[in-house]
Amino acid sequence: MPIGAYYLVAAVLFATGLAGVLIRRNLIVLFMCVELMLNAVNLSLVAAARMWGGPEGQVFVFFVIVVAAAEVVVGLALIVNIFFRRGTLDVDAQHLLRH
Amino acid sequence: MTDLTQFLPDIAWSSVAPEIAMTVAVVVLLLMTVAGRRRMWVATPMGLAIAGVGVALLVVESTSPADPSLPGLLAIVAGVALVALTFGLAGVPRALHAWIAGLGAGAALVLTAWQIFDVAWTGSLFAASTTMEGSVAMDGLAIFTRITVYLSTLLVLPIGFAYVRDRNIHRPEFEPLLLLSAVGMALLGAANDVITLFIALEVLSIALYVLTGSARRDRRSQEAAVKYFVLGAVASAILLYGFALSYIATGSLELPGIALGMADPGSPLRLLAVSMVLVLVGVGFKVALVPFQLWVPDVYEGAPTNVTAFMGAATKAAGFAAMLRLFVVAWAPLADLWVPIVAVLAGLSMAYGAWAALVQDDVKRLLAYSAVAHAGYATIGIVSLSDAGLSATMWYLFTYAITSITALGGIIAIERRNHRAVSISDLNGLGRTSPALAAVMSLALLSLAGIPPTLGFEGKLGVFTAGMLSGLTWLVVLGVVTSVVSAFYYLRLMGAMFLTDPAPDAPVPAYSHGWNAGVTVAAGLIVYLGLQPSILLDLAERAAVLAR
Repeated sequence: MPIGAYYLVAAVLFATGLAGVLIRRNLIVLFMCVELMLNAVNLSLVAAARMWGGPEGQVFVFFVIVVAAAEVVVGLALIVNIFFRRGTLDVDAQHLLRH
Repeated sequence: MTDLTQFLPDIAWSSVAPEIAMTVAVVVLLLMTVAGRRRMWVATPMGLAIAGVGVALLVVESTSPADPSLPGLLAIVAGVALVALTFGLAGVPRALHAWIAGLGAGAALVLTAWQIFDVAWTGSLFAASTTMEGSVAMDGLAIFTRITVYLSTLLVLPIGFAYVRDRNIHRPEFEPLLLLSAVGMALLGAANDVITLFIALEVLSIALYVLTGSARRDRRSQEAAVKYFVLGAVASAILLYGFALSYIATGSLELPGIALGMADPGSPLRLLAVSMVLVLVGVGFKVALVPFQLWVPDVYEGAPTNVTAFMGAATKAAGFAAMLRLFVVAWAPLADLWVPIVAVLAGLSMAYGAWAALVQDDVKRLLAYSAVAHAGYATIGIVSLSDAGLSATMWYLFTYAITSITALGGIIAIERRNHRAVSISDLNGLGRTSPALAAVMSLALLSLAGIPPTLGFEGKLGVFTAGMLSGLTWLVVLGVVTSVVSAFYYLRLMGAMFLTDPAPDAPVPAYSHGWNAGVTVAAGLIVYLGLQPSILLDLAERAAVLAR
């Protein structure tokens, strides 16, 4: 399979994630879309590392995975806490902060 | 038997010495939290170990008895101080934690000074070099960012100490998170490849997400944290995809390598342009340039005010350091493409920040919009694409950090006893009821407005001069016009303080020793460096050297 196909799939994944972030209003779904974007990045990095024949791209992927895990920990904690305070996960629900 | 030492990497620890000091402080704080009442059992061995490392450094690193290794001496002092503090403040764990955090930040600041004079100084200019296989830069930008970040940390710690107690939101993880965030910021200024840059960015961001939401029972704080988190995570992902695309196009993850790959005539320009735009979105979010500023007012308003002060001051400095390095080093070959775009964003930020702040009633929100405008001013130095612009941006961020900490320090004093947001009417008559606080806040507001002879004026002068020298007349004119507009709302706040009568139910400001000390130092810096800027301005001018 040509390397460009991987880039294309990654781009489609990334666009899907970005579109989801812009359209969906549920915090958990938003969060999933961010993960989708990060994994699109991982796919491009691995493919590019294969194309250039160096290890840096693959090393970067491991760091991205670790950071994504850290983000999940903090993000889910924040989301659970706001669910207890507000009783909804809809980002458009009544805000106390003016926007 | 083979010599195993040949496999050990040669790591220049000196290039990240301040960050090591901060990280050690974080580890000590966390261990002491876990130990609870038995904190002596943690502090004593840790203190001895740190002092022991100091002795070892003295023996190994000192060139002669007359010229001892400064990190060694510092480690001995810090180790002894740790044990002494633990025994001296045994009954007040909160104060103990704050003091240890302050010790870490102070040590980091001293080590930064040591880096300047012992490692990076060639007599007139900073030497630019890279360490750790090119992933950490040791140059003027890295060191100046450290000064701004660690000084902000050191100021915010005492100013916010009594505030978090009165709001009952203090937790033992507060100081470690603050320090970790500062470590991320300092590394962001030093990152010379995109992996380090990304890790540093996430370390600072994730710690700040938690800090923003640290008022767990306050729904505004929770909303701010979730908003900051979701938008921040999206911005990071976009930035990351920009890095991935530039890696596809150039085959390098190091910033100078990306520039080299870009300069190659065969490089795919369209792909590089797309990656440039994605990276601009990512860093634009962190430094709050229009149109990526949507989170700023809500997060500034919802976060605990001492976190707002830290975030506004230090994150901006670190974010701009990363932006400078990314655009001036890595995307330099595409300057024709990004300079007009970034210049327009700078103009929009100045105009939007000044215009939106005019109609605000909540003082923290007003300062948030003014932060957007200030991001625009700082960007003028970047688009100037000159050494003068580089040092002007660094200097501007320093002046803005000190000034905004002072201004938000004033809000902290007013907010402490009355647990609600401070509106402009809360400032009514402050000049009569608490003249000292009103004077300090006025000083900070005058500095934000850029009126001589304050620090803020020196900062604005620098970026405007650099802009003029690079022929960006329209941007500088816009900057001056928006400065005049923004002076109007800063003066409106001063008018409320001095020209109106106090309301009977006006909040009573509360002070503490830490607040007094921190705000006095910050206000003193505004006046002193406003009159005598040459000390640090010289440093900033000489720091305009980037590792390439």
